[in-house]
Order: sequence, then C-alpha cells, then structure tokens
Amino acid sequence: MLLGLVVALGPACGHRGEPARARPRLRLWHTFNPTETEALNAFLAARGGKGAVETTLLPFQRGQTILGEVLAGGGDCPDLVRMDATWIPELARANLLSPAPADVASARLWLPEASALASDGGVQYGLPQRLDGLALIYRQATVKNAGVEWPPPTMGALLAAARRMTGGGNHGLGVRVDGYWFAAFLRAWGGELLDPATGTLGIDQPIARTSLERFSDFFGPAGIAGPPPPSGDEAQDEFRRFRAGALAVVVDGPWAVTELGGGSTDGLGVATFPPAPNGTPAAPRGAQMFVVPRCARDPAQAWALALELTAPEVQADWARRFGLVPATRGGLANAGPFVQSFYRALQVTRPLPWSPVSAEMFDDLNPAIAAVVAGDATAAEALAGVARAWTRLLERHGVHAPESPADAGVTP
Amino acid sequence: MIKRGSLTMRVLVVLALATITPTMVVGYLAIRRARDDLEREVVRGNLALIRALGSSVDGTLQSARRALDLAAASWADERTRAAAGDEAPATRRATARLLRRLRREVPLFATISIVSVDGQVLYGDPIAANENVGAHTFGGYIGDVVYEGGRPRVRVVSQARSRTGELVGVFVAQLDLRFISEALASARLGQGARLLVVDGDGIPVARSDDVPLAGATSLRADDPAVDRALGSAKEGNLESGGVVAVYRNLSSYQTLRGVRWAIILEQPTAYAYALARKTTRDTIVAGLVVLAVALVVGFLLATRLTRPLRALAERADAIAHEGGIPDDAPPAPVDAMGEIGHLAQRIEEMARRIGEREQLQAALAHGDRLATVGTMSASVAHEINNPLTTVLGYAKLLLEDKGQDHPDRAGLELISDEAARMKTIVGALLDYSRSERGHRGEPTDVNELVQRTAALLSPALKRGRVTVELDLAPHLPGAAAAPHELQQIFVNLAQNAAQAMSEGGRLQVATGLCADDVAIEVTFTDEGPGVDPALRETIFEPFFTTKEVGSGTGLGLAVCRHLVFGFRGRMEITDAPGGHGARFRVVIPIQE
Repeated sequence: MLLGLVVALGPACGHRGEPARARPRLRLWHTFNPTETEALNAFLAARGGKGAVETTLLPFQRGQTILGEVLAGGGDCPDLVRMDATWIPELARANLLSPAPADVASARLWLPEASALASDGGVQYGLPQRLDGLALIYRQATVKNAGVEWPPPTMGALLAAARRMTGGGNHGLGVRVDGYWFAAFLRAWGGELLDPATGTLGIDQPIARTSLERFSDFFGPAGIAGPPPPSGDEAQDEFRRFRAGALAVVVDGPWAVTELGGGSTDGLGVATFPPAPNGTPAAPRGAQMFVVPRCARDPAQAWALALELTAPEVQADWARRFGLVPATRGGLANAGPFVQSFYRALQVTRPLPWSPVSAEMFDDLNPAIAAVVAGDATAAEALAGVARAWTRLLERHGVHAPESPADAGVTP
Repeated sequence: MIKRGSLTMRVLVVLALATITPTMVVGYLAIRRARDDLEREVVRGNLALIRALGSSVDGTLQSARRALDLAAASWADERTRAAAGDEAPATRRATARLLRRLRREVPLFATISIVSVDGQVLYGDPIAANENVGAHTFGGYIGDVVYEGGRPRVRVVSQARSRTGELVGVFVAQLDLRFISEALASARLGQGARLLVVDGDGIPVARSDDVPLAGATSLRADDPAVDRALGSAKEGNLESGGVVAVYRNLSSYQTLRGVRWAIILEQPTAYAYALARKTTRDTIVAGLVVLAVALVVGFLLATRLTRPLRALAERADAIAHEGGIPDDAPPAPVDAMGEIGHLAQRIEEMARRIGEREQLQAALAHGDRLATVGTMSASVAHEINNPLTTVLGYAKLLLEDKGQDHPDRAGLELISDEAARMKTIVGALLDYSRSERGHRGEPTDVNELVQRTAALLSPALKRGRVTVELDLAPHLPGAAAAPHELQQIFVNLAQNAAQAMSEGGRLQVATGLCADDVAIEVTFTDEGPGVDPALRETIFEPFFTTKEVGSGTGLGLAVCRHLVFGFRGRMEITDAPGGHGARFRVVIPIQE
C-alpha cells in the first residue's frame, strides 16, 4: 500500500516539493513528403511516453527562407529540423545552428558520403537522415531485351541506349526540365555550374550552351525523353509513364522509388549516372539532415530524438518501405539489395558546388531551361540571363565574379 | 429419477441457445457495424465538406495567382521590349493601367506592388523595407498569413520573367482572406460544428463561429486536431475530448503547395453521432421488444409442445404404477401432429395390449385355478360316478317293480331323479376336466360351426320363440380351437340366450376379425334382461347360476370359459348395444 501511495504521489511531486511542470513539446519541422510524413507520425505515436512531439510540415520550396526568418527571429523556434543538406552552410554561417555534440555526432557509423554533407567549416551540424542523388532507375527486362550496353559507361553510351529504346510511343530516358537534372548532364559533358572557390561562373561557358542545346533536344519531337508535361506535373507524369512501360530509364533519386515502382522494386534496377569524360562523377549528390537550431528550447531532447530517427533499424525500415538510402552503415546493411545497389550508384555522384547563392541558383536556372526547351529562347540567350542573375546574387553576398570571357553579351 | 416440468425449461434453453443467443450476438455485431458505418459516414461527409471548402479556397487563390502571373508575364514582356532600366512614361502609363485592371479583376488584392530585382518598389503600394521578397523564393509563392489591422492577409508573389526566363521584377500582392471566412460562414454545418482554417503556426485564419480573429493565439497546444492537421501531409480524422474532428492540410492542393495551412471541422460527438446513436438506441429497444416477444412466444410454444408429452408421461405413469389409465386422465394426444401423435398412438396401443395381456394372464391364472378344481372334481366325479350309476340303476330297477300307487314309488323316483341330476353334474364335471390346453389339430371354420349350431338348435329355439340372425364375416381365417369345444361353447351360449329371453326374442350371432387381426371374435347378443355388471365376473364361476334351483348345474359358463382359456382365447360379457340385453363375446386365436 505504501508503495502504491508513493507511486500515486510521485508524479505530482517535483523537485523540492514544487509541482512538476510538464515538459514542453518538442517542435519538429520537416520537409518529408506525404508518405514519409505519415510514417514519421506513426513513428512518433509509437514512442509513447518519451514525450510529445509537435510536427510541422515545412514546404520545401520556401523552406530555407522560412527557416532563416524564423531562426533569426527566434520566436516560434523549432527544436529539431529535418532539411536539405545544402541549407546547412548558409544557416550555420549565420550562426543559427547548434553544432552536434561530440557524443551525438559519433553515436552512429555514418556513411562517408552523407557525413561529408553534414558539416560546414569542419564542424558537424547535422545528423544525416538519408542520402540522395541522381542515378539511372530502369526496367531490367526492357534494358535486357533492348540488348544495349548496360550500365552505360559514358554519356554517349547512355544516349545511344536511350535512342535504341525510343520508338513506338515509348521513350528511352525520363528526364525533368529542371536545373538539378540539367546539372548532371552538364557535368557529364564536361561543364560545371560555377566554381565556388573563385566565384567563376561555368553556366555561361560554351560547353554549358552546347549542353543545354543537347539537353533541350531530349524533349523535341524526335527526342529520347518526349515532350515535357505541363509545369507542376513533371513528377507525376514521369511516374505514370514509367509504371506504364512508356519510359525505359529515368534519371531520378531514391525519393522517387516508391512511386516509380508502385510500391515494389521487383524488376527494377539502379545504375550509375555516367561520369564526366575525365571520370569525375557527374550526378549531383545530396542528403537530408536533422539539425538543431540555436534557438531550440530543449536541444538535448532534440538531439536524442534525432538519434532515435537516425537509428539504423529505423533507417533500414524506411529503406525497405520507401526505397530510401540510409545514411548509416547499420541501416544500409539491412536495407535490402535494391537500396544497397542504389547506394553503390550514389557512390559515383558528387555534391553540387556550394555557394551563398546555391539555394537561389535554380530559381533562375529552371525558367531559363524551360524557355529553351519550349523554344522561346536560345541556349545562349537563356544562359546569359542566368549568368547575369547569378552575378547579381553573388554580388549581393559580397562575391564578385570575374569577367566571363565567354559572355555572349545578350541583354534581356 | 423423474424430473417433472423440466422439459419446458429445456425447450426454452434450447430455444435460447439455438435462436435467441445467436440472434443477440448477430444483432450486437450488426448494430455495432451499423453504428460504425454511420460514424464513418459522418466522418466521410465532413471530409467531403472540408475538401469542397479547401477546393473553393484553392480555386480562389489559384484565380488570384493566375491573374497576378499573367500580369507579371505581360509586364515582363513589355519591360523586356523597352530598354533595360528605362522607366519611360509610356511604360509607366502602361504599368499603371495594368495595375488598375488587376485591382478591378481581383478585388481581393488589398495591395499590389511591383518590385525590382534589387528589391526596390517600382510601382504600386509600398512594402516594408525588411520584407525580402525578391530572394529565396524558388519562383512564385503564396506566403504565410500576416495580420494587417487585425485582418488576415496573405502575400502572393509572382516572378516577372522575360522570354528567356530572366527575372526582371516581382509582383507582390496582399490578398485579403475574408473570402475564406465568408466561405466558412456559408457552409451548412451540423449542430454544434465549427470550421477553422489555421496557418502553419496554428493561429486561426478564418473560423465559422463568432470568436474574433484579432489577437488570436496558436491553437496547437490546445486543440489536438489543429496539431494533427499541421503535422499531417494529407487529411484524416480523430476523436478526442468528446469532439470528432476531420482535417485536411491545404498544402495538398496544387495551388497551395507550400502553404502551411490546414482546414479543420470539429463537432461534439453527441451531435455528430446523434443519428448513429439514435439508430443504435432504437435498434436495441426494438431488439429487446422482439426478444421479449420471442421469449413469450417461445414459452407458449414450449408449453404447447410439451403438453402432449406431459399427457403421455402421465398416462405412462398410470400404466406403470396403477396398471391402467384412470378415467380422469387427460386424453391421449393421438391427434397431435408428427412424432408426438405417432408416439401417442403407439403408447395407447401398447397400453391396450398390456391390458389385454393382463386380462389374459388373469384369465389364465383363473383357468389354472379352475383346472386344479377340475382335476380334483374329475377325481371325485370318477369315484362318485360308479356308485352313482349303481344307485341310479337300482333305483330304476326298484321303480320298475313298483306300481304307480306303491307307497315307495315317490321315494324311489326322488332317488332316481336326484341320482340322475347328480350324474349330470358329475358328467359336466368330467367334461370340465377333460378340456385340453391349446389346439394342435386342423384350423376350424368358425362360420361353419356357427351355422351348424344354429341349425342344430333351430327347433328348440323356435319353440322358445327365439329367432336367430347370423352376421358372418366372409373369408375368416381358421380358428385355433377344436370344433367340438367351439360347438359346445356356441350351444351353451345360444341356450343361455334363449333361456334369458323367456318371452322370446331375437338372438344375433356375428363373426368377425378383431381389431388387431390376430383373433376371431364371435358375439351372441340377446334381448334379455342383461347381466348386472356386478355379476359379470361371478357368472363364470363354477356352480354359479341365476336360474331357479335345480334347473341348471351352474357349470355351463364355467365350462365355456374353461374351454376358451384352453385354446388361449378370451370371453367377456357386456351390455348389448342400446343397453337392452347382454352380449357375450368370444375371442378365438387364429391358427397360424
């Protein structure tokens, strides 16, 4: 009976006899897609008595802006944020993120590709949640029946294979009219977006113009990718066509596996995106990170939750369910053969160059690529405009790009 | 051990187990399912409502944004055609016209501004200097909710890009969100229901109730539905604190992608599920009524079902314990349907056969007793018969020597008569003793014997003014009795009947098969005074007679019955039909 009384009174008694205060709910902001969001909510609901977590879905498109404003303001500060790895440098240099405690940072055996993206200036700010990047996702039977050289060692081999698998209403390669995708082809043809070290732009170089012209040809009447769908429907259009067998190969990341396979990876294969002629990986690599803002109310609990969410068994579970590539060795070991093959493909990728304008680069690059694909502008015209925009952005951040010898001098 | 009255309970238990219990279980499951279905319908209906409202909000925002996009594209084209940075008067006039048209087409725009790529306001309403609308935009967007004078507004941003995709300016408009409140207010809500639209921080943007929006704080910590809605990427429902809520995150809409709003409909479960609960309650009440009726009907059916069985049980008890069924016993349910009627018929038949067997056994016992008497009598008669013959012979010799007037003649005649009577009695005793058990000879034609007897007695009967009527069943099987014994019985019974009808009358003799087809019956029905019921057993006793002293030996019926028992038959006496006269019935086994 005495024990029962103690147990009954225990929760009502706090330190020094003061009433116990309810621990504030942890605030988790994230950019998960709808399926992952539901899985996250289920995970948090299953945690039971480990403390309530208030989750907020952050729109990816404006995520960095919203985060920057909120973290700088400090009012409605989240305790933990799951975000794109490319957002770390700017937020970290604005002193808005907490470095990961040493014991937390070393609590997992991170994959080196993910770990490298979690740091800025030698300080680890994030706990990697998953590894991202572009690779070739294909139908094994289609590729085998086509009798093409596979996996394609070069961009020429990839395009030849895609050409061979194009015909009869089907297309050999699924590509998005998007700067992120264009960057992979640009680098595979030997170009680059910019040199972050010097601020030199690569987007206005001849190789970039040539690359954009060739990229634009993918979507022409005789192209290997077919005409692009209306803006906003690119992803769903690609999923539909691939599931229907109208696309043999798509250039996409692990985030698209669930939709591409219709919930199953049977019959699907993953191959490396061809590297640059000099052997340098061309496809961009990224990662998703858990970070703790400096304004977090309960950083210790936030890091503890981040460790829970990056536990190898959780990552392996999500890998098997959604095709996502874990960021830990333990998670990868139990992720299944398909995801492990995706990881091998992502090993031949390279992060995009980071600069203060990284987040804004695609804001200008995407409309320019769309204008060229639509035939509204030449590659030279469009990329010249991009170069002007990027120069302006760099100057706003105090980076002055050297005069580009290849500037076509096109005025808007 | 006999447990009386338990059958009804058993039938009721069986009814309960076989029908009522499954009905209750199935009914419970059906009620539960119906309730769940109705509750699901409520949730589905509410979800449909907020989908429609979300779609309406999306449509309005989409129209506004499309108008802004078109204006931005038009302005970008115009500006691209002009020299870079040249704000010529014509361009200014054209831009002013464009803004006026835009305000006219989208009255919801509270402010409209055109901002340069450097963040400077070129045209329209002023924008606060700290609002960085030109960077970090990833294209056009709909921003978070801001409150201007206590009214929620949202910023809509469209990038003005040239033909080549280059950014030449940004259109920024403040959209008044009153239209959402108006849409919520026009929604037809159920009793006690309220609609909420909250921003990404959980602060109400619009609501259907009368709570003012100004100064509103976040509902995330207070309202689980708000919390769930903002944490979800889709739609869903939850029940908490007596409130059922459905929610939808508006970022799921095409136009609103990136917008962190949610729409929530909340309603107390008492109202939301009122129909479901009323239906459940009504169904339970109706079910209980039906159950009560079923129990009553079941009890009546059980009682009705077991009543004939109880009657049968009572009759069986009477047979077992009392040797027969009393007159006040309930009637046998031989007319009951199905097996019970069949069982009753068989029990009645069994009872009748048992009765007959007991009668036969009694008769046999009586016959054994008489046989003992007969054996003794035969022995005595045999010893007496010789001296009696001598006495009778000498009496007759002495009479022959005595004249009619001889004084000893009267004495000698008395000796002779009494000796003759004694000899008759002795002869009868000898007949009685000589009867045999069973019949081992040829089957006897009863009809022929009856006819022969009638012919034999015809003269004597005519003298007594007795007419004989024969009613002989054709094709009777052969009887298992000796013909001379049968004839002796028939003669005796016919003579008794004639003697009973001293004034003459009609003697009916009928033959036929018994009901069970195992024996032949022969009846002698007279029109005499009948036999007193009290004497109907005694008249078969030896030396019992109702005739005048000296006119009968009192052995006739005893001999008849003795003979009948001899061939395992039966003999009984009843009143004649109509109650006038007596009927003797002789049952004779059929020769197998």
